[in-house]
Amino acid sequence: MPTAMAKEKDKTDEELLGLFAQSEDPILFSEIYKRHVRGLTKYFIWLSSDPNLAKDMAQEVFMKIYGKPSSFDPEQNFKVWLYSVAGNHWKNQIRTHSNRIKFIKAYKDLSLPKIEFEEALILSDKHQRVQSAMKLLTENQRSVILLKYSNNLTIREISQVLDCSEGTIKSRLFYAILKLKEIIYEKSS
Amino acid sequence: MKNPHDLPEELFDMIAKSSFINLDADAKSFALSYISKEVYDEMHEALSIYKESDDALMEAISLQEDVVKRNRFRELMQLQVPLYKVAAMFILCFGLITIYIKQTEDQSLAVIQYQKAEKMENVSVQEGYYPESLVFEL
Repeated sequence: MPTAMAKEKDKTDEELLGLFAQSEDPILFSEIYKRHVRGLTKYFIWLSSDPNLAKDMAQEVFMKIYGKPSSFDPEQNFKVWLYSVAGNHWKNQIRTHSNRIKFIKAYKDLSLPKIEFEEALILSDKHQRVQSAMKLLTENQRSVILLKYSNNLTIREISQVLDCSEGTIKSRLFYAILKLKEIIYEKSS
Repeated sequence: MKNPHDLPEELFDMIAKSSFINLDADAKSFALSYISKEVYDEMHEALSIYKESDDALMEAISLQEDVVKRNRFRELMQLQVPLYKVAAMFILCFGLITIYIKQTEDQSLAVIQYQKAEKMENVSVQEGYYPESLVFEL
């Protein structure tokens, strides 16, 4: 149904999730998933340095959303909410076997597109150098860089995700960038 | 240098996009009103390296759509039709069939009656000729 698909593509994330909460139509969910899963996977790769764990975690976040779309307030910004859920998920990584099985089953039932990696790019020396430098930043510093420059959130949105003032975010971002530079320099020399 | 708390968002975006040397005069003075050229360049360099790596990472991640073979029977079994719709369809079909049967019966009866009347009156209906007695009989 090309027309129906085109219609989904025209909708905002907030509209799609609001409609999905009412109708539970998998096409709506699939559209949100396709828009954000790569960005979210990238976010988890930067945090974990493990592409496979990142893939699982991105899928788990989407399964959480799939299971409880009504927890999203349509007045809210979807990206802010998504990365808040992702941040919390990262903190309390779901490790229990039963939950993981449940997520994998739900994911298979939905037949969503699979996430694939070109390992050579992820494992390249260049990327590994930046990845290991990122690891040396504090969790807060890493998060602000990721949300600002990988996931393109505004300072205001980041302050909502991390629940602190915009001034604090700017300050963290400033020092995080300088520290990243310092670490990259130290490593290369 | 101003307190990092007070740096505008535009400055962070500018640093990510362009090196100090490539800024126009207005942008340069805007940046210099908050941070020094050296700090700007250091931040730009760090972000360039980071962004390059981040873009490569995004390229490395792809989505592979499964070519799902459609299982028509499964889809049919999963189809949920409300009971009232099934009942309405049943009543409609039953009504249409009844009307059809009734019409067929009426037509057959008319043919039988017409043949019977022809025999009784000992006439045959030809084109344009309908004896009054036969019409009355029919």
